[in-house]
Amino acid sequence: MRRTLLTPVFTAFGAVLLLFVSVPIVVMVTRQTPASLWRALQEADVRSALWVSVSGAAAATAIALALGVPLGYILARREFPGKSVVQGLVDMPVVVPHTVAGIALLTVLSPAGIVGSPAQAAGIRFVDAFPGTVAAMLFLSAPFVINAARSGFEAVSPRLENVSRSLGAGAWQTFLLVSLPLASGAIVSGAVMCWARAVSEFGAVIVLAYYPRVACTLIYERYTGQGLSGSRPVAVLLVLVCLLFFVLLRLAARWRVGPTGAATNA
Amino acid sequence: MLELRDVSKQWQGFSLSRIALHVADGEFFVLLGPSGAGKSLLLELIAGFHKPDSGEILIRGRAVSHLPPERRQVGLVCQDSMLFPHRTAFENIAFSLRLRGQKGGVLREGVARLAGMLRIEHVLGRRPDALSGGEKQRVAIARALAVEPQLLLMDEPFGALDPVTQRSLRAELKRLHQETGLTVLHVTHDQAEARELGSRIGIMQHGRLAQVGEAAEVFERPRDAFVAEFTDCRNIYSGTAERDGDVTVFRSGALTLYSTAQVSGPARAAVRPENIIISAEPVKTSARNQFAGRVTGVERQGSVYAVRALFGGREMTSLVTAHSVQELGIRPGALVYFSFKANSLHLMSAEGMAGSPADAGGGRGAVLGDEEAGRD
Repeated sequence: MRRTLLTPVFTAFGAVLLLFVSVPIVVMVTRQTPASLWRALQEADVRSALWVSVSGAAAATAIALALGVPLGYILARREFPGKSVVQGLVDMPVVVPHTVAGIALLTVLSPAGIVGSPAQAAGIRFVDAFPGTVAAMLFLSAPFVINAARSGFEAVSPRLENVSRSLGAGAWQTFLLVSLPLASGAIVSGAVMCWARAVSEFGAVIVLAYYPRVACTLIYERYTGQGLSGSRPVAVLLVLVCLLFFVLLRLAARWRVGPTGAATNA
Repeated sequence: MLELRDVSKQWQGFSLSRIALHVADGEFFVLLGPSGAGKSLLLELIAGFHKPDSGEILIRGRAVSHLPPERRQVGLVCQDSMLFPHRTAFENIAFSLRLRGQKGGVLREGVARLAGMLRIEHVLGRRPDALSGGEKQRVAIARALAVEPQLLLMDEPFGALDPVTQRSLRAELKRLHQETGLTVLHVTHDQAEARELGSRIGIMQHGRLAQVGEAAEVFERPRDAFVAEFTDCRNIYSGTAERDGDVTVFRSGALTLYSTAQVSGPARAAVRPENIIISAEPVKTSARNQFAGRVTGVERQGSVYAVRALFGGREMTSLVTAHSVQELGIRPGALVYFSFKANSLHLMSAEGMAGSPADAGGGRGAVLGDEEAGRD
């Protein structure tokens, strides 16, 4: 092979960026002693904030999956007038600043808002309540699920669905037995991105639902009140929770792939 | 069994216009045509993936155009097998059986029976990506048969396979058809495959059926130059036919041919290369057509040789074995005799063709016309 400078130069450039991203995280985590983390975990405030973050993100992801997967399928399979407008709407949350999203949501979801007031009548409160946390997270992380589902379904040949139909499966059965399983890999990775994005949501959450505090809100509050040393243990705990989640998912994915890989070698 | 009544459809640049076809119960019908002729689109209409723009499709006398694919009981096998990649061969075959509520021993028995018919018992545990091309098609056929189809649609099922696998699968399919008495509609662009499998053949061109008939009829009596050419009849000439008693004399430039066909006026003549006998000496024969000429080319084509020679300014091709090439000392420049019977020369009236819708293929390069005679 001909030697060129391209590979070393590109590698060096990329390494700078990777170091820039990883060094701060590693240094922050290693500065924290296990004892200080343990102490932080003893605080009810910290435990509750971590729980609200994790469970709120999970709820937002579940809703995004339930409503976003069908939308992703339609976008992958059907042509209709205004499709590019719909795709634009799907991507909009990515470009809207998060505090702006919070203000917009507050306008609609406040007890006087067009959605907030009927919801209030039904006994659901968004402002400074868990549903508000979930709503803020959902608004900003749903695109990950919709777009992942769309590209997942696009990768499934419509002819496979046709064959399924000719084998006697109806449209719904074909979706459940063929399209969804084949797109599930893409959808799961979209869901992971969605969850991670939701856990890190801050700007929209503090506008709509300062309470119950999510981890990010608590970290910010500790930082403004107690400075770096006060906020860092909570920050490290949040990072560790996220890492744990990713490791578990990776293991789950490997377990899922494992038996099939073995089967192909049989 | 299957009846198409003036079915028309425009779809993504493909079009079918007024296709009328009748496939009898238990028949093996082959649709033969070049890529883009609309063969696959026609199968997809019958399977129910599209609705015809006009016309009606009937299966066992029942109009099905409004029925979704899952209610047509039509089996489909595609060129790229389209097996479900996330399921084993067993589960692919079991797909429709499970939908019909079979499970446990009944299901295993059903799959085993189909796997036995297609001789794929040993691959049932594998996923499609661990199957060879031939195995994939066998699984796909077994899966299609599992729906107990009224009609089996085959869309170039052997097109992506190597010649050896193709040959064994064709034989297998023929056996399967004889054993089950299934009605098959088989699409291909391979004339050899069509001839081997089809009891009747339909030639498709530009979204129309150019000719439908018994295999022998389509191959020996093509209706026009396109059909003749597409069925690999390489000797097609333009000229004039004149009746003379019980024979017809056909003249194209300096070439004079005799035919038993009864045509007069401007016509095209076609003789299949495999119907021409080559000899090194003039032979005493009942064949009315015999002429001497010089060999212009010898080409190996698979297991046979195509020998081209010039007679009366017209080139003619015959197919012979390697043995004959050696025996007769056939090489460019050698003197040879071509002979064929008068009933091997098929005549197509040029007037009739001009009026026929399938004439778009007329006047093609392969047809040597009078206009070219002057240059010879």
